[in-house]
Amino acid sequence: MINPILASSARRRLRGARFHILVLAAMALSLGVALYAMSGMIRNPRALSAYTEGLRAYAALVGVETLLLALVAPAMTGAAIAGERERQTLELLLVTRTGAFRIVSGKLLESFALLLLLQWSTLPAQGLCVLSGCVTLQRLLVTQGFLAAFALLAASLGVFCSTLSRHTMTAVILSLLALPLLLFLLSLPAFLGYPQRVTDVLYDSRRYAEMTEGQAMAMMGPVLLANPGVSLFSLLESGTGAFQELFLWRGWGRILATYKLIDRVETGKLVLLGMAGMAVLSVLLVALSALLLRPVSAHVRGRKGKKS
Amino acid sequence: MLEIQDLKRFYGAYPALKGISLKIGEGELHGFVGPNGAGKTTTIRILATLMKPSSGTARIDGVDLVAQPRKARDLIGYMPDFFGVYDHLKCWEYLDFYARCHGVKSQRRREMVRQLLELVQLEEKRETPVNDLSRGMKQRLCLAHALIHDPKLLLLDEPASGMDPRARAEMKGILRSLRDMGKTVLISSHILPELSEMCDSLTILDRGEVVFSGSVQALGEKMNGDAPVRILLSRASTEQILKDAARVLREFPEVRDVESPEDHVLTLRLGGGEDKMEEVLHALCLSGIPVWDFHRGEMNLEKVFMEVTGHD
Repeated sequence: MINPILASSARRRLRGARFHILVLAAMALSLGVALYAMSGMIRNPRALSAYTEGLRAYAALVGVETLLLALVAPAMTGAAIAGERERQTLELLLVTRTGAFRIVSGKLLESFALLLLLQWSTLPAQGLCVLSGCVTLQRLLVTQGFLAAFALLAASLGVFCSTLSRHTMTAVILSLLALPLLLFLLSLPAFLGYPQRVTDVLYDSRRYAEMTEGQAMAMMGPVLLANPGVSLFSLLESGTGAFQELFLWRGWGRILATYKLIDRVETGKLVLLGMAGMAVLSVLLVALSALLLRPVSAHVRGRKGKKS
Repeated sequence: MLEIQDLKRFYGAYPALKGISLKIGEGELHGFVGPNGAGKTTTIRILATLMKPSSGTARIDGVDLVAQPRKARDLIGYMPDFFGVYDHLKCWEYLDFYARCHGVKSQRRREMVRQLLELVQLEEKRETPVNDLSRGMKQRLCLAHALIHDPKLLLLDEPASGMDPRARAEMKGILRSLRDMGKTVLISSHILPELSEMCDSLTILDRGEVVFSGSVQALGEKMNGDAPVRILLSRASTEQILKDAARVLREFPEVRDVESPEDHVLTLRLGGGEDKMEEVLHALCLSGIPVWDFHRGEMNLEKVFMEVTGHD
C-alpha cells in the first residue's frame, strides 16, 4: 500500500494553486535565463565563442536551478512536521499504526517528488542547450542526477528542521540557514587540514602536470569528494572555466589549489561521489528525524509540561 | 479491558500523576473527571501511547502499553482535547486517510467510512471540505476518525468542550450509541454533571490522585450521606431557644459544624444514617425545641465535585 502520508500530503498540496504557480514561474525563469545567456550565440551562431557561451548558459541554468531548489525545499518541507504540530494533527497520526519513520519518509517523499517535478519543469530550457549542441545528453543526465540528489538532501534537511521546530516559520528559517552551514562544514578541509600540501603541488608545475586523477582524489579526501558543493562546482566549471579567473584575480591560494584538484577529476565521478554523499546524509537525517518523532518517548515536542 | 496500576508521571520534579490505579470493564462508559491540572490529559496521553509513564503499568486487553505500543494502538481510538483538521480534504477523504494510516484494507475502508459518517450524522457532508464544517461537526468527524479501525477502547479527552448545547446533546447521543455497540469508552471532562448523565462509572482525579472511583450512584450515595441537615424552628423562637437547640445537638458526637446562617435556622453535619436523624429529632422535641422542619439537603453534582476534590 502506498504511504498514506505521501498520498494525502501530495493531494492536499496539489489542490492548492501555490505549487502550480511555482512550477510555471520556474519554467519561465529557466527559459528566461537560458535565452538571455544564449543571446550572443543566437545573434552570431558561427562565432568561435558560441560553444562556450552555450555552455555558460547551461552552467547558469544549473546554478539558478540549484539555488531555486535550495530556497524552495525549506519552504516546502518547513510545514512537514511543524505544520502538523501547529495544526494539532500530529498526535492523531502518531497514535495510528503508521510509525514515526513512515510519517517522516512520507513527508520527505512528497516534498522530494514535487521538487523533482519542479526540477523537471526546467528541462525545456536545458533542452535548448542540448539542441544547440553545446551540451551533451550525458552531461544533461549527470546534471539531473546531481540536482535530484541535491533536492533529496535539501528536503531531508528541511524535514529534519521541521521535526525540531514547533512552528513552520522557524523550521523554514532553520533549514535555510542549515543548508549553507552544512555545505560550509563539508568544505572545511579546503580551508583547514591540507592547504600546505596542496599549495606545494600547485606551485610545482611539473608535479601538478604528472598528477593522476587517483592522486588528486586521494589528496582531496572523502569529505571533499562527497561534498555536493564540489560536485556543483565541477559541473559549473567544467568546459566553462567560469571560476578560474575569479580565483586567480582574488588570489585565494587554498581555494585555487582545491580548484586545481577538482579540475583533475572527471566531473561525472565527482557528481557520482557527491550524489552518494548526499544520499547518505539524507538517510541519516531521516533516521534522526524519525527517532526524534517517536511517539512513546520521554515527551512529544510541543506538549511538554502541558496542562492536564 | 483496561487495567492501570500505580501509574506515575513526573514533569521534571513536578508529579502530574502520583500513582493512580484503575480498572475499567469491557463495554463500560467510564467518566474521568477532575479540575484542570488533575492529571486527566496526562493519563489519557499515556493510555494513547503518546507518553511514557515514569513508573507503573497500563494494560489494554492484556497488552502492555509501554512494551507493545504498536499493538496497543490497534486497540485504541483517541480523540484529543484540541485537534485540527486538514484543509483541502473532503470528509470522506479525511476518514479514508486515517483508515489507510491504520492499515484498513480497501474494501473494508469504504464500508467503514460510510458507516461512520452515518453514525456521526455527517453522511450529507461526505463531499464537503473538512475546513467548512462547524466546530461541532468537526468534533463528530474526529470521533469518527477515532473509530475508523474499529478499536476496542475509545479515549476521549473532553470531547464536548466548546460545543453549544445542541451539539453536546448530539455528542451524548453518539456516545450512548457507542456504548450500545459494546465499545469501552473512557471520557474525560472537568464537568461532573455532564459525565454523570451518560457514564456507568466515574473516577475523580485531583492533583494526580484518585479521590473517588466507582459507580455514579455510589458517588451520589457517598456524598448525600454527608449532606448538611437543615432545621427550621418556629418563628417565635428566641435567642435562648436557639442556644438550647445547639446545646442539645452538640451532645451527639456525630454532630459537627452547627451554625445558624439565618434567623430560626440551624444547619449541621450529621454522620450516621436515617436512624441517627430520627434520634436527633426526638431529642430536640423532648427538650421542647419547636422544630417546624428537619431534613437533609441533597448534594448536587457540582457540590459533590467540590466536596470530593476539596477545593474550588
